[in-house]
Amino acid sequence: MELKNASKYIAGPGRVFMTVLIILIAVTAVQAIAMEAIRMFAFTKHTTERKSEPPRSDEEKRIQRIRQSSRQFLPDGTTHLIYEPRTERGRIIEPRTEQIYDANDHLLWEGPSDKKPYEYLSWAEEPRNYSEAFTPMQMRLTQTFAPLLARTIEIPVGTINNTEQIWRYRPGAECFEGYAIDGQRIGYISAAGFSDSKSKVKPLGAFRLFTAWCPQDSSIPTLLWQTNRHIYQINFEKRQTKLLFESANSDIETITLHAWKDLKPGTKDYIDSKKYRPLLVCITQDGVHHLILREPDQQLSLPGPRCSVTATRQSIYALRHGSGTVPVPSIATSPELYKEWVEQYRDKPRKMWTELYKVSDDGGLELLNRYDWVMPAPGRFMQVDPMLAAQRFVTHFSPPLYSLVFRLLGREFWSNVHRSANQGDFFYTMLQTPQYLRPLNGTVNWVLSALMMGFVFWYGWPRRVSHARFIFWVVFVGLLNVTGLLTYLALNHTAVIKCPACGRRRGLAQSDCIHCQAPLPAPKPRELDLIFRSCC
Amino acid sequence: MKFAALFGKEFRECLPWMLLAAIVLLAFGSFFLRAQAYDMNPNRDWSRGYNPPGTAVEAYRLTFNSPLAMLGPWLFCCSIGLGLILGARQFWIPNFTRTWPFLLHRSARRTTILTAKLTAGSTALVLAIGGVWVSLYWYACQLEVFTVPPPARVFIHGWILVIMGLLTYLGTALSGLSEARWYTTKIFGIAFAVIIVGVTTGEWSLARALAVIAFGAALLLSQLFDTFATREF
Amino acid sequence: MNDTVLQTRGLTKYYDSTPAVDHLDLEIPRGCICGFVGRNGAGKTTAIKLMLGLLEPTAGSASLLGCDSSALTPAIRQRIGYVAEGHRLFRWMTIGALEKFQRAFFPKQWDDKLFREMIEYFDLPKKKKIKHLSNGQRAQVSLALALAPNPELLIMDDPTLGLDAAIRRQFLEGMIELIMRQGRTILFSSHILGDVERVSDRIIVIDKGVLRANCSLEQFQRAIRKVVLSFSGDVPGQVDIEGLLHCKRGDKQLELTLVGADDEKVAALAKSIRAETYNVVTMNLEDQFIEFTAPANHKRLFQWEER
Repeated sequence: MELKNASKYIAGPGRVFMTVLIILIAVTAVQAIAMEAIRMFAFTKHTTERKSEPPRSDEEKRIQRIRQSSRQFLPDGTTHLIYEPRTERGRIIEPRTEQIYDANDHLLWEGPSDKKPYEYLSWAEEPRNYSEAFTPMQMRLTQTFAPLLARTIEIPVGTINNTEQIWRYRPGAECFEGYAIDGQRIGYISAAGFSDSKSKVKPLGAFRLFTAWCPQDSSIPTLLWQTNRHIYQINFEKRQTKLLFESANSDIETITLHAWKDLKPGTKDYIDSKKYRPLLVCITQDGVHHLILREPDQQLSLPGPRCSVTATRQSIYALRHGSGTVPVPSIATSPELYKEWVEQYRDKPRKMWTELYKVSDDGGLELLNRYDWVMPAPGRFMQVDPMLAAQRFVTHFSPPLYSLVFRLLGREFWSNVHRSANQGDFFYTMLQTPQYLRPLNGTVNWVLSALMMGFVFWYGWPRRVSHARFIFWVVFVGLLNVTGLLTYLALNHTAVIKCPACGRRRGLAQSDCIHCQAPLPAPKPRELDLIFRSCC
Repeated sequence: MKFAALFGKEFRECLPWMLLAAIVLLAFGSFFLRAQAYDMNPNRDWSRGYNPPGTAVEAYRLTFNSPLAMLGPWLFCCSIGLGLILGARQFWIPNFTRTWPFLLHRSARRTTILTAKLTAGSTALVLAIGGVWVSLYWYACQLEVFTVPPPARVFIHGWILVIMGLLTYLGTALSGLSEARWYTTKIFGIAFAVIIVGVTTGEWSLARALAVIAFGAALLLSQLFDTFATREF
Repeated sequence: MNDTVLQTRGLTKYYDSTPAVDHLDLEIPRGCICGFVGRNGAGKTTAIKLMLGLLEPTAGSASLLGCDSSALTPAIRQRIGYVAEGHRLFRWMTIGALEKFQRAFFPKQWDDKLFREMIEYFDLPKKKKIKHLSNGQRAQVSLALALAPNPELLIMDDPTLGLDAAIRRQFLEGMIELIMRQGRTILFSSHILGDVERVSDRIIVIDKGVLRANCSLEQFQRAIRKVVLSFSGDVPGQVDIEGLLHCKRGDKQLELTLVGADDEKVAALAKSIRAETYNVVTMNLEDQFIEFTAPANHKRLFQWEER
């Protein structure tokens, strides 16, 4: 086959794809802008309406206070509710004070928070993104092919004025490569520790997170490096890699730390090491909490559900929260589930509780205390989310194909897409478009598509070249709505004339009339031309 | 011989722009590299990676740009700019100078003429931008200049930016060949190239980036050949 | 060897819903100089581009040297010379560079001697860039480039546009030089009927995309005649005659332009309308062309007072 013929079969679909993509992006942008504009208008309207609401009753204020309080525990299990007084609109009143209530709602104390007479248990927390923790999204951002060239993670070893070594992370090899300051390669730090040869390198694993600190005896960072199944602690000064945890069965979902980093008293995030043992909690995807403790070294496992953990010098505690409702589904990804949730749960009162446990050395749990309360139906406290209304209107013009694709691929697929997008994967972020913009009102959407199909039928019938192509375009417009219609008009614009033989409109893409197969009309010769020809 | 004549003619047309882009990139690139080489002691500043003992370290402070980082935007702009200019020079200007009939009435197939054009344009772009990039990277790798060589990834990253210029060139060429009016689908070629460039800049995986680029280039090339073969001049 | 070098069958081209070329049927025999004439926007350039495969016809076909225009092979193109309208060449090239470029496509056919002679004859410096040449000099370069490969068929689209009389004369002489070589055919479009009259032996007239005439120049000139009839009495009000192109009334005179009126018919006409005398006026090609292509009821821009 000649190159010309071969390229024609790729070029045709390619042209359609290219045009659809560009028009789809343009239409999506218009939809997104329209949605935001409608949402802002509706939100402004709602805010204006809220200003004219009557003030709250005492009971309402009490319930509001309980809702806005944090529940704290003393080491003996006593529960207190800590409340920061706020305005009607929810803003904290300055200067900031705290009110401490007991479980029976008696006020125990009131004053500035740094002067409160109680010392509550503090809990292991996840390293905060972008400051403490370096996440996979940040790792990807350093690697993107953006105009600013790729960045690298580099750990200097030396002093602030005299760097002697550099340890650079290599994402492909999943290890650190060391250079002396004269440019010579020193070796590698990997899961196998330090090695001077690449052949001895054992990859650390797929990166999930790292957090860093300088220990009390050094100004060179030590890294806590988390992968899918392992947690390492890497000391570059000593060129050591210590495996803290390895999960045999399940990927690590998240980690929390408490007093783990060797920080100086008075620094930010310092936890009093006299009161608390260094604690690292790995929560794997099967729900098990793996506790790694130091001083003395100890490892424990706690089964799910999710809880917060802390370890004082005397005991280990676990804290669990629960409610008699299900989590709110995402309105963006699952509008139908959100609607169900609104009907079944949102406007009804629900039970809430918090339980404090003591953890034994064998991982057993002993309930120390439990605090229950009832969250009333939100009523007027609930804010109206206008996004649903905006989405409903704007998605009338979305391709019906989105709905079909959404149903075909299933919720689990879209949940995975949503998760990947949240981790900063640009491709998956774009892939979420069908999820967010699929038509919420299928009837109106299909009616509009049908109208567009009708227009294409009327417009394209006299211009058709073949039935197959014509049907393709009609179906195409039906599946893609406005995008399809604009694509069709962009790629199919031939002139029409009236066929002198049958009187119907016909296109000029073919030489013969599509209806009666009559050829294009020949010009009528002038009488003078006939005379001329006869004498020539 | 015919291909050589066509290639020579096209390359000669690209030459002034190619040299201009190469000079601009070389000048600014050398300036930035030399500035960093002379300003820093010892050639790279890792001071923000150090913290007082017993303190937490903000994780992002352990990420560093290579000395070539400042080059990235220049490389990108020169690559995209040269792609636009070469595409316009080869495929838009003949519409205004009306030299298509003279060129097309050669004893050579249209695909040969188009191949010569694309080869010349691509060669000019790769030589101008890619060649300068290689020389600047080589310079940055000299231990007398910077104590620790830049990562290999940066080199590959630079070439991806060069390829983005090629995509822009193909998109501009397609737009130039399009017979549509400017306010309809004429600029879709450039728009598509911009989309591919945009998606690639958001990619972090080399395999996926190359797949996106290959897909975009295949689509643009197939349409270029088809449009050139069937277009009316 | 086939006697027909160029053939079109029902060649049609529509732009939007208007035909620019409408069912053009042509046959051009080998060895002639064919003038292709028509008013502005008649479709000459469109027809030429269709013949050369630069445009896709809406209907019909064209063939050059036996090869379909939509699939002209490189070998066929080597045998066809083409001078495009406006002599658009690569402005940054020198004449020498352009020669080198052109020569690469005609490795065996290129007549170096002819090219050098033409360049010397036109007094064109080889190192001069095209953009520094005048219109006339560019036309000369175009002609030299087109003639040097010794094409069998030379197609030129308004080659003398914008040239002064002297340059035009040189240009035409170059064309005649080519036609002296056996078996060469030239098709050229022009607005300057004097040039067509000077060199052509065949004429094609196109008007609003429609072929009006395709015959020898002699036949064309014989077919269109102007007769001035004098009357002693009143000039007849209504003149109904077959083949009447134009009628102009004067005082005691009637000027008629006729198609297909031989001497016999003219005499019979004069007798029928009782003209006292009649006189057949010599028309040049330009006048004949204007009368032949004027619309039926067209008004003249300037209406002179009738004598």
